[in-house]
Amino acid sequence: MKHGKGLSPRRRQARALLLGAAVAFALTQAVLAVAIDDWLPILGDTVYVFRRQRLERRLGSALDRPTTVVMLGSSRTMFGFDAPRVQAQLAAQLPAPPVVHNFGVPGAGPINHRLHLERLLADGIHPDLVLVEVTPQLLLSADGIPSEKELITPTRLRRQELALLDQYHLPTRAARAEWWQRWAVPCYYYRFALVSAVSPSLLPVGATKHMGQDLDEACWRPLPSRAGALETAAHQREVVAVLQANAASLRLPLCTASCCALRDTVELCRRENIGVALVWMPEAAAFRQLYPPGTKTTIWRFLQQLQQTQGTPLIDASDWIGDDEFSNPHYLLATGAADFAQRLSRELLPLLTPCNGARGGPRP
Amino acid sequence: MLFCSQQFLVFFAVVFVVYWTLDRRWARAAWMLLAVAYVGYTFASFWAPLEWALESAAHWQGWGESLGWPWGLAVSALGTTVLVRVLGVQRARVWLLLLASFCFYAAWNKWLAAIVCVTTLMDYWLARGMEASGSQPRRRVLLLLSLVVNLGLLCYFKYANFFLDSLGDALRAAGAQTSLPLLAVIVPVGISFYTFEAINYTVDVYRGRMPAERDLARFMVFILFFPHLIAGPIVRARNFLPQLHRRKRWDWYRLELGLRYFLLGLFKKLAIADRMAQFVDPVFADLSAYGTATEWLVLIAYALQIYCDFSGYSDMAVGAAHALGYKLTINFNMPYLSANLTELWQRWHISLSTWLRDYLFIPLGGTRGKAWLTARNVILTMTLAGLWHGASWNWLVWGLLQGLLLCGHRVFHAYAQGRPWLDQPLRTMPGTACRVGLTFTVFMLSLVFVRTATLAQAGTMFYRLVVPSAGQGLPMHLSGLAYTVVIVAFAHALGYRKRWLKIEASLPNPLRSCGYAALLMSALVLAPAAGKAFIYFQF
Repeated sequence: MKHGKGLSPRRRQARALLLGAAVAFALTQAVLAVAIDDWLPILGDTVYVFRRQRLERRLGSALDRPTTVVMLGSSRTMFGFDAPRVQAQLAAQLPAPPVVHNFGVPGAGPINHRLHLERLLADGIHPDLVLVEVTPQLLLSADGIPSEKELITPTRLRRQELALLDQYHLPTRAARAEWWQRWAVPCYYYRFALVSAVSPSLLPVGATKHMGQDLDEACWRPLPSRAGALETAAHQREVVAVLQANAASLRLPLCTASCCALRDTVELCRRENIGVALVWMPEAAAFRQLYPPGTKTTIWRFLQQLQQTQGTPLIDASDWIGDDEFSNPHYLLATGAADFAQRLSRELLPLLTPCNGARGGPRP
Repeated sequence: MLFCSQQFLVFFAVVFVVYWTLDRRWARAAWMLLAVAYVGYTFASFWAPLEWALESAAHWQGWGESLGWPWGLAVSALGTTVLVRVLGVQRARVWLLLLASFCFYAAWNKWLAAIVCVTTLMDYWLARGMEASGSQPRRRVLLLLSLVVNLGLLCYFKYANFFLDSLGDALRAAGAQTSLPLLAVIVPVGISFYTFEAINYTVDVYRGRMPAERDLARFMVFILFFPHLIAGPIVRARNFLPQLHRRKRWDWYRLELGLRYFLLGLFKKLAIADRMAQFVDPVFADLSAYGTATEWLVLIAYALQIYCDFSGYSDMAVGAAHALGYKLTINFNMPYLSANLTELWQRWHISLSTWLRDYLFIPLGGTRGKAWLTARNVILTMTLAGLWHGASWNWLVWGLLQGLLLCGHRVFHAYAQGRPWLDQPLRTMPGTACRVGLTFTVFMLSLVFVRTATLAQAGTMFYRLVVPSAGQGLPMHLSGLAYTVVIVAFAHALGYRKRWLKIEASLPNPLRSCGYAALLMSALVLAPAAGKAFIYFQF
């Protein structure tokens, strides 16, 4: 390589251009990386931040420090937990109206629940009662690596969370490498969030759906009842697909790391003086029949152990709702969610009464 | 290994740095250490399987495959750093390029990479034989042998199944109860490109237009050079081989030029072609589900996609080659600004058009004979060009259509030239704009044959384009397409008559640097979730 004095003006200019371009690109990336971490977290983890912001807004608009109930869960919770109705039911029974929030995130299992709870606490939101969905498929795994590894994407994670997730064998080696790479070119790794923020029309129609635009204020996404839905061929295909997809995953052994995460979430609640209950969401009969004989017993034994050692109430709602109220064998229709909310509220009332007013609302 | 992938970034970075630092002793020492460390590390981690591998050839193959191209690249770097003392820096660089190109191709399939090497070796020896031989018949036999082997392999890999399939269809149509078995072959990536390069070399040596290359490594780099190996541009031996003999010197200007081409290509591929694929793919997957307006819009999107995909690849190839000190042919010159189809084919895939002109159209007689002979030559050349692109009836019809349209243009051109009342208005600004619009529309409509898999599908598409039909809307927001059209139109306006070069020269350096950074950033930000392979890889 030839450097320095001997260069012609044209070559000197080219060198200046190249070095300038490299510096400009590196600087932009560095600023973007810092901005995403510190000022624009919504670009980092849109799914979490969107739900948190909604909760903050609702807590902020309440007159007094309200009793806060948050349900951490998967898409089953997102569709099935009619938070506004639970809130209305509880408000009628409690001295002050509570705030009930749906924190259901598609694909989220015990590890995501732990992550979301840690973040809520770190962000100054201290619920009074946390309901943790028990998603059987996500407590099982073929290779000991938690099934929800797909959702633990590097772009979502903050630095301190890597150590937290390490104990659950996540993120995977490749994802961990990607976590570092995202610092080099955040504009590539966060491109979806960036384009959504700047010009969503450049994305395919419906691409921003999962980001929460179709959730209600309490982050519940009601599934409307469809006339004759059960009879349509498309619906039948969907039902078969859901059953087939889950039949395989329900045959897997219990995943130690996922169980640990669930236990840790419960322990965290206890440490933080937060009420906690485990909820097994409603399932249609066809889904309940999928469980091989040993699987449900194994999961159930683990949950009972948790109940005994931690004193955590376990609400088994798996057979609460009739098959007609399901969109597919494990997603409740809005009408089913309403029935579920009615009954769940009755179960929650005893859990809230002793703590109502005893704990503060969101901390600053 | 796609040009716009992390794999290629790592691959190219290693080749680039080793290539340019081979003349530095300290760098050679560093590369040797690094390569030995990497090779040693991977070797150690595979040590246990290696013992087993001695007993099982199948296992040995698995072991070799699991090492992959990084291992091959590390060994290549190590080998060439060792060879510098024996071969000298320039030849060691050639060997590095050769080994890296082999690794690049072997990343897809090592057996096909071996086939390319074998045919290249054959062409090398045949050309040497032609040059050494004083007998014209013997030279002709050697040329024929080269053509038969090169075209034979091309036909076997690419057209055998098309032929068998079509023959089976014809027999069934004639009432025979038979089905011919298809061959289980994988088409080597880029076979059409390197076959044409090999042919241009042997034909030029036969015609005495250039001497046969004596250095085997240099000749193999001419065929295997990784920037152009997979999808062109089709380089000419007369242009490329002399470059391999020149001493390469580090040049900041050339590097800047390379970066400029590469970034432009990256932007075209990621921000336009792949983005347009999101409009195009769902619609072509189910043509009958979409309305007429949607299908017209999608056809525009496809015209942008195929242009930006292929010209983007060519730009990246030119850029990568420049960074290593080589100049490749510019393959596209804003073809959608052409005022007629003849001009469009002079601006679209220039390296193929000129190859077809020199090695097919002119040997067929070119324009030397009567009008009907010229028309025959044009139609034959374009039909074969269609078949070159792909082995299907759609490609054949597309090529034939291009030939007919070119003949139509020749006839109209001759007619208009003698009639000033027609010719002069067509040459005015509005007349030219109309001609550009018409040429684009005709070419865009012909792309229906390119994008659909069968003639029946093409028929469905044409029917729905002409007969107003109801159906679904665009799978993307219309504004996404509108933005892209505006960007492409704006870029063409800047590029027209090299306007951009004048503007660029007046810009201060920091602004131009920021422009490069912004171009890279916008390519990365606008890249859709799933990257697509280059369309022209299939050729």
